[in-house]
Amino acid sequence: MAVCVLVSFCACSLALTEKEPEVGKSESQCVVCHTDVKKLIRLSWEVEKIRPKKDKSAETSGEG
Amino acid sequence: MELYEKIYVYPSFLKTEHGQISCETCHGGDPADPDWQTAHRKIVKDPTFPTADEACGECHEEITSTAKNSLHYTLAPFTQVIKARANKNDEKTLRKVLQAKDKHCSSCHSSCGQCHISRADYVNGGFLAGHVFKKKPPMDTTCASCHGGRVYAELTGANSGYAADVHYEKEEMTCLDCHSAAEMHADAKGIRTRFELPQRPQCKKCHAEVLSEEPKTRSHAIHKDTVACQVCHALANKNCFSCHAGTDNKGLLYYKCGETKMLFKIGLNPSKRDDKPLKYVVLRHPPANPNLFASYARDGLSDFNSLPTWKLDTPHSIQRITPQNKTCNNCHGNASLFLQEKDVSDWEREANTRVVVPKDSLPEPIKEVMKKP
Repeated sequence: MAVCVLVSFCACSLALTEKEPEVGKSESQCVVCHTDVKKLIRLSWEVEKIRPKKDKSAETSGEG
Repeated sequence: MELYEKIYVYPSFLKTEHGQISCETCHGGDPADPDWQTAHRKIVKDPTFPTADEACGECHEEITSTAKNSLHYTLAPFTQVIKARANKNDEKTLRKVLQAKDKHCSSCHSSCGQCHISRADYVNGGFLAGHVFKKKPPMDTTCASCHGGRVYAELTGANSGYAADVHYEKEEMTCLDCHSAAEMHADAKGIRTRFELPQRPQCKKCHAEVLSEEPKTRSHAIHKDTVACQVCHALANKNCFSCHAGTDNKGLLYYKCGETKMLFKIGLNPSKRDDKPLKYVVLRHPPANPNLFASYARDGLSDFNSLPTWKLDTPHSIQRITPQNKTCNNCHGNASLFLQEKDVSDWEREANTRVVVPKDSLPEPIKEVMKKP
């Protein structure tokens, strides 16, 4: 009986002290979106709709 | 929207040392907000510009303390040149000229991030490798993005009819083999031209024998103190003529550049240094024009003639044998290689009196051609 209690205690202690996986990074929406190509492509379409167009002057000529 | 516009982060970046820093520490924004539009409020695209101190300085203070004043950050010589040529008698005009300079010239710069993480903003950015920091920026992506029009084309032989630089072609050297990190990060405060930077590339660092007291080659012994290396060993460089900058009726900035020409012109050294008082150097015509900012300020560059419009150049097209060094008389007596009064337009004659080679300074043909040692 005592052995059983000791084994259970050790097992519980090990389980509790086992390092938890880092979740901080994966919670960041920045990381979630910016590492997902599919999401980024979809978002880039949305960005494209609202982003002001970069116009270039028609008067520019010659090598810059 | 192009995918290269700084968006996809390699998952491998998150395992690097810089990847341990949370995104918002450098870029701001709200990492907990699932709505991308509100999450991106107050986002800083390049936290390393205009100052490198905050984002990079905490760990790399020894670099940022000087890099923030480097040529790539400040374009210090641009300001010096514009100020030297500007009308300094009228404060209002001077202000207009400097504002025009800021509008048109200051967008062309770089930063820690725009060399080591992405391409420069000037060419619309784009990660070098999914936000992974590159200690040594890749030449073809980073340097060529801004310097592709002239120097990179010379180096790689992209100018039709002109061979690639021997350092690139034969030794596979890249920009960073000569342009060291010490030079890139050097403090350029007060520098008038990049040739004044003590950390600049110097041929003698690798070719010490050529510039020693007793060089093995006779032509080196004869010319080493009076003629720049490039005078004998470079091919033609790209010259631009005329540039006007302005704002069109839609409020958009524009420039109008004149023709570009591949030329090879030797001239008198406009910036002799005490440690190297060379007489002859290779010159290049940049797109200098007294009416550059005429649409902003009339007579804005009234001191235009204070600097030559043919400036010192170090073409990146080095060859052991060139058309001008094949024999002594390919150069001696060959007046067409030298910048003469007839090569200079009337409006820039006064500016170039220091660099035009007078007839009595043209090297005479050599009657008894020396034998090769």
